[in-house]
Amino acid sequence: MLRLLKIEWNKIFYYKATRTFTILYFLILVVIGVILGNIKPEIGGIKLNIAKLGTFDFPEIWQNITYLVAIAKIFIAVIIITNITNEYSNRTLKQNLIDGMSKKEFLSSKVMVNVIFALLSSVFVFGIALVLGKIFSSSGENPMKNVEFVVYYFLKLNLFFSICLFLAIWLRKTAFAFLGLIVLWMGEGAITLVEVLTRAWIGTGLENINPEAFNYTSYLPLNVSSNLIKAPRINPEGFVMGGTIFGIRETEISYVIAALIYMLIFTGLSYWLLKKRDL
Amino acid sequence: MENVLEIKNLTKKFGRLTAVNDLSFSVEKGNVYGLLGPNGSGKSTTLGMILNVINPTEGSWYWFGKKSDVESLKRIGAIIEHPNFYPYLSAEKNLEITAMIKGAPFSKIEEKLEIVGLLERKKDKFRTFSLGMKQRLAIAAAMLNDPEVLILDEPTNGLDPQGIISIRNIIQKIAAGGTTIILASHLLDEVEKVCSHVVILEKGKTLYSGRVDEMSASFGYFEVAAANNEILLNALHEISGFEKISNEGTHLKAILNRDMASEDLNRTLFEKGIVLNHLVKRKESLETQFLQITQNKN
Repeated sequence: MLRLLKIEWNKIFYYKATRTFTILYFLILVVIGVILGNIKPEIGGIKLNIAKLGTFDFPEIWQNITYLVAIAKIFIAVIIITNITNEYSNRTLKQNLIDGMSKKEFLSSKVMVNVIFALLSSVFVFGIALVLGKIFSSSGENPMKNVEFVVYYFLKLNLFFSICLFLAIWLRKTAFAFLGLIVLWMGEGAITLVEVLTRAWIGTGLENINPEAFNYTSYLPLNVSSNLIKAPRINPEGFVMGGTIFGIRETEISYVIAALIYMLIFTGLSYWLLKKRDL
Repeated sequence: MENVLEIKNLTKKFGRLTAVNDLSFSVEKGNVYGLLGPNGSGKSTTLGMILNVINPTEGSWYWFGKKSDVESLKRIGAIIEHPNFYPYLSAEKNLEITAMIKGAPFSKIEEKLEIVGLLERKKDKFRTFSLGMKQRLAIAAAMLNDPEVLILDEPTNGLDPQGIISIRNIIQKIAAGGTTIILASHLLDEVEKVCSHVVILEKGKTLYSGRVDEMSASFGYFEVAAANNEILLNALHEISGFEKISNEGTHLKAILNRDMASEDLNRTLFEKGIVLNHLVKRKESLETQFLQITQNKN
């Protein structure tokens, strides 16, 4: 296993582009944390202090931060996808196999890279949220309450990366893999919309759609990813009362299970493609 | 003799196209084998299958007497088509990856770079290399684990004469060390120069498999001319020992079906009152033999 990681290290770290993006990614995570603690935007003449809105209060901070920084995962998606598509365009996958690496080893090394990126990101995010919370939290809650959002974040990244892995192996070209991601994203959006509208039309009527209602389409891969960490609940009354405006929205266990199943499916499909295809 | 590789009834179909058709042959230890055939005859597909990158439709093969597995590949060094490396990595980093895959010690890297003459360039990125240097690096990579078998697919393709000579020298040096070599090529000349055995492929079928020097039982042919070729032609027909006599314009070509010395032919014709102004005895080149074999089977 260590051998496979060392091989991947050579492939990723000694490539200037991926090295730069990796470093940049972790810097961005830290910078987001620093900026969040310091910006005081002015909206309509009223100075808003993000830190004072209860953004960084335990336990809400765990959801707020993991929800916010999840977008940065696209950086790692670029690295993961190019790292794999390069193996096709440089024909090094073929050479690796000829040199005696098995297809299983090849896939494991790529999966390990995904897990490590997800793990490092989670550690960073955990650290940032903890520090921000220690500085700004005024709630007096136990800091470790709702820390499971970091675990959801870890899962969310792994799910997303396994989708990237599959698309990269399937489509073999960087541009197409990203196009695949966009198609999946828009496709899921369209299907979700159809379901929501149809249900409303049959049931409650189009004018009063219940956003909390159950939808099968919530279990499509990217929807599962966004449902792992939902947008924090915002209640303006809380703010008026002088407290926090954010509230925790729990993640249902069914999304955790769905994420794990999808990860298995995408990794399995990747392996099947590798096995089946001639190089 | 110990068989390093045994291929049995190997077949590969790409849709309707049969790239390799029921191919069987075996490779003995210590010999240099040529896999000869025109472009598209199934050479690379065959090598791809025995190297685990192409899934066979049917058939089986055995490396070192065992059903192929990843471990046996680590005892083989192979270069397929053109050199495949990470363009953004230095020669050294690239070889580190190969060494880690094959389980060879890093100390081999310098040693092999030295052999192919790339030691001074080890810190340079692969993409800055010329084709000849890339090909040499590929040989260094293939030699990293001191393989028992070396597989080369068109190793001199696209190289300049100097590059070709340098690659051939390296191959001959490796062969002299007792390494079994399988060399795929469409260049007969190359196979003739380097190989002891040859397997000729065409459209995925084996046409010939055996020693290079036993490839053709041909005795060669004469090129003759006289003042009057008509009379010469008639005279040649009276002499036994020719398989075919044809008029090539300025001279006649008489293909032998038994051994005959030039002086014997000259004497016989002189006795018949014909004086030759041109007499050459030739052996078919491997190229013509190859064409003959290909044509006979069609």
